[in-house]
Amino acid sequence: MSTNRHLIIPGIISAVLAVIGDLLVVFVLHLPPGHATTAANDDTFTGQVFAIISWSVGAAVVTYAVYFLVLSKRTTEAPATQHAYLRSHLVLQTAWIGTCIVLVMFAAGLGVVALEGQTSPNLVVPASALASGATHDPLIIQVIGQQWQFTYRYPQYGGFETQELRLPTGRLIQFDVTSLDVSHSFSAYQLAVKIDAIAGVNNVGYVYVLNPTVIDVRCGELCGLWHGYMTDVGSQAGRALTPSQFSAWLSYAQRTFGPEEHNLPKFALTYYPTPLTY
Amino acid sequence: MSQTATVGTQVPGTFSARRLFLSQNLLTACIVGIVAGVVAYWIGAQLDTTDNGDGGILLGYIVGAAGFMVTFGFANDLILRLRGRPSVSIVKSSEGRTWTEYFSISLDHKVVGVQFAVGVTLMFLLAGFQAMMIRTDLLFPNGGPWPAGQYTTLVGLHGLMMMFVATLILIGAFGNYFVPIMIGAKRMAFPRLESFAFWLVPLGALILYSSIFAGFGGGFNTGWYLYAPLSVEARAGMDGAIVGFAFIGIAASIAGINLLATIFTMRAPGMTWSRMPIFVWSMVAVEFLSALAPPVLAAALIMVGMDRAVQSSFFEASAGGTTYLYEEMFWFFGHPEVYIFIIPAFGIAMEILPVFARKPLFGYRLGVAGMMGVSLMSWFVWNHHIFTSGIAPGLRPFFMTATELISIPTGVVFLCLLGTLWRAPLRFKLPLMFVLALFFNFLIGGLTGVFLSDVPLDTTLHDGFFVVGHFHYTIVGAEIFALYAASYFWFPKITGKMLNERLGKLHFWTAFIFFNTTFLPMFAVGYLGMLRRSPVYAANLHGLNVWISVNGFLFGISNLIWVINIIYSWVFVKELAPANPWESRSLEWQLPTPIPADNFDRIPTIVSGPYDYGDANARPVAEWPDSGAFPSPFPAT
Repeated sequence: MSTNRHLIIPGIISAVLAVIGDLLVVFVLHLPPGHATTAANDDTFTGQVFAIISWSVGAAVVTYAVYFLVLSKRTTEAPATQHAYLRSHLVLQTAWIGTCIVLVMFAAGLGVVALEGQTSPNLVVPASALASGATHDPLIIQVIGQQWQFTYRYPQYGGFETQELRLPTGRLIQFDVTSLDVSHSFSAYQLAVKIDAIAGVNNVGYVYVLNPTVIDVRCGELCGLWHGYMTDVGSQAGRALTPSQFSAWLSYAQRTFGPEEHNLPKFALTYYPTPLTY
Repeated sequence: MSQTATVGTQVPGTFSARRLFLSQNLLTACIVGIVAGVVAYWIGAQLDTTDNGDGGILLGYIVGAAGFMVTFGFANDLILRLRGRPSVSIVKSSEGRTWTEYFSISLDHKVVGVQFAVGVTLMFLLAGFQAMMIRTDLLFPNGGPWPAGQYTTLVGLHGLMMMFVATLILIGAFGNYFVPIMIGAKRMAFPRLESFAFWLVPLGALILYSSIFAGFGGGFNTGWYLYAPLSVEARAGMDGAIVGFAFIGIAASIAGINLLATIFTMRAPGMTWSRMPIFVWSMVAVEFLSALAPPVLAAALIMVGMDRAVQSSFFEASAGGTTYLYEEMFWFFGHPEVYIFIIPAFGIAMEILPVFARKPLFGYRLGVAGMMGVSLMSWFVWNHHIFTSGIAPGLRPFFMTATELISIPTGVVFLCLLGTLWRAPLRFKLPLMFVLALFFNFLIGGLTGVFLSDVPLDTTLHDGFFVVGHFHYTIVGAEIFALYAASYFWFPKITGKMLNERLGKLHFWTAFIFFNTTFLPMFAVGYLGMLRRSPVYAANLHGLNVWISVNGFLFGISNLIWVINIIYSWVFVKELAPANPWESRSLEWQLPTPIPADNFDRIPTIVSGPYDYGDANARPVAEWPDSGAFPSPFPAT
């Protein structure tokens, strides 16, 4: 009887704590990165689910441990004469492992579902982007990382290169990310995008923007001396614009940056530095 | 005619300059090592086909280290055997041990354990000081007092040195010291290799730190990952990082092989697998990783060195190489590496718990299965470190699922904790307090790992401070707290003195509180977009960063309290500890303090497991042969 009581009471306490914490997570916490893109929606939702699971599991373990610690204060140190101390308990161990498996497979399933949506072997289109009705005619933006700045080329509009990242809402965006030297990482926080820029490689990623937003771009892979300063934030931040605003910007950009295009290398998916010769 | 080992010993009380400079000792080894290194540097610089001298520096480090090791005496036995002479006996002298043995090649695993403990703790303090410098810089959102180049070097040095510490502190210090005793053996399987593994450590640390000097390039700017192609193109300071890291990897690999051989072949009669202490089981689980993973790292680092020195093109994209080769090889080592950190911590926690719970460890077999399961599965998850690198899309669901599955065997240790605490007449001593704190910290660390294992969510969190919080909770919160627990637990057996209780409680509360107040907010700043290895960050995160830095300084001070406690208790306290202050049933506590050089005059026969606390009818762990010289075993309860 007392064994059951000492197992049920902490169970009730942890259930109450779990419910309180889970309500805080859902209604108060406002987990990042927000709702600017379908990917950001996914991340926010997944983060909430994981926070709920983690808080519930953590609260249960800590509650039981603290309860047992308090209980131990009332336990005298006397050798057991009636029964031996418990060394294992098959049902308990099986239930513990079974619960872990269920939670883990649920988490894994959630992640796989969010990852699903491959349209061809080389392209990974987030399912959420497809589900939102995005077309298969993406706006291609090439992101070029180099020590120590990002630049952006728009091959469908003459291949001009700019240091301003601008993209429209309501259209599938395809980022072609590459590097001219060492490894960088194109990290666009509000878009929930992080794609490594690797020399000689074209890394493709997709996003579908729902709402206009500021886009803080930072380099997410240590790339040398000024890695921390390889950012487009503040006044230089990228922007997701409404379609009409984007059209206006496109006209301005083609006028301003287009004439320089003939000085640039011809657009390609990857660029090498001049090959080494011996 | 056999010869006894006299390497590094001097007749106490007499000093002879001739003997000092003509014998094999630390001084002559350093001199020869430096001279050999300089000569090799000059030769390498002549042969170097590039214009930045890497070939010379790399050759200088390697030949210098070899010269040190040979002069010190590690090749003596090999040369004797090549000449057809009998090898040196490994019988140790059990009397007249002086302090000089701690600065020489010792074939006593206990001496090597203390060498590891002191040496690696010094490295821990140095790297911790660098952490304080990093947090100083992060007091300012637009860049702090250190120039950008120094900040990246600080980050790399702190990370890499802490990797050295985390790899070796538990295995090297407590594994080497206690595993042979716990299994009833007189020595390790390969005592010379064990000492060799230790001496690689100061060599590796010195070589790493030499990289910060201007002549060697003024540091390295790649962080501890040493990602190519940045590491291929970095200035000369990178060479020290490469060689130092490789040496530590080799040391870990050697320690792994040694411990595995010892545990498999040298257990006392009656020490069946089910009677083995769970700390020894943790050594078995970890040594498969420690023996097999670092060679992959060494291979990757050799390739980086070759790309730097002789323009091979493993990682240079413009010459046909690929970055992915480095990333995959590095993390194939890198993920088992982090389980090398945590598995001994679990072993120590589960070893200490029943002693202070005064009841058997709950789920002994489950705990063993958990650690072995973690060890096995850790080979199958490494791509979760590079989800955003552009790896083949089909790999991502597999590694995500495998990473989440590994939390199942990891979680069973919490069942062992709860089951052991259930109705336990606990003794709230310092080792137990640190073990409880370890479990609390690891709960947070482990749960946050699940966030990172989800590929879409990792897109937001990768390479940010959420990751920094996660691994500090697991490595510092669990492994370093296991170090604290083990130090309070085993200090009386190693030194014969107790650590001061009052200072210990001050250390515990300052460490536990300030550790959590430092690293818990990192999850918030990471989630809010602050990325790693950058001295600048968004202005709205300034307040949180100041909080983290200040609490980080306080956590650093708590470590100083621990060190002060150790020095004070070891050097200034005269009162001796009892032979078994914790009333533990484990074999090492049945021996007198200090433990004799050969551990056991005659090997005992093991008749019971070590966790039968609370049972009045429990047999003692071992039956001792009638020698008359040994104390009788401590009562079972």
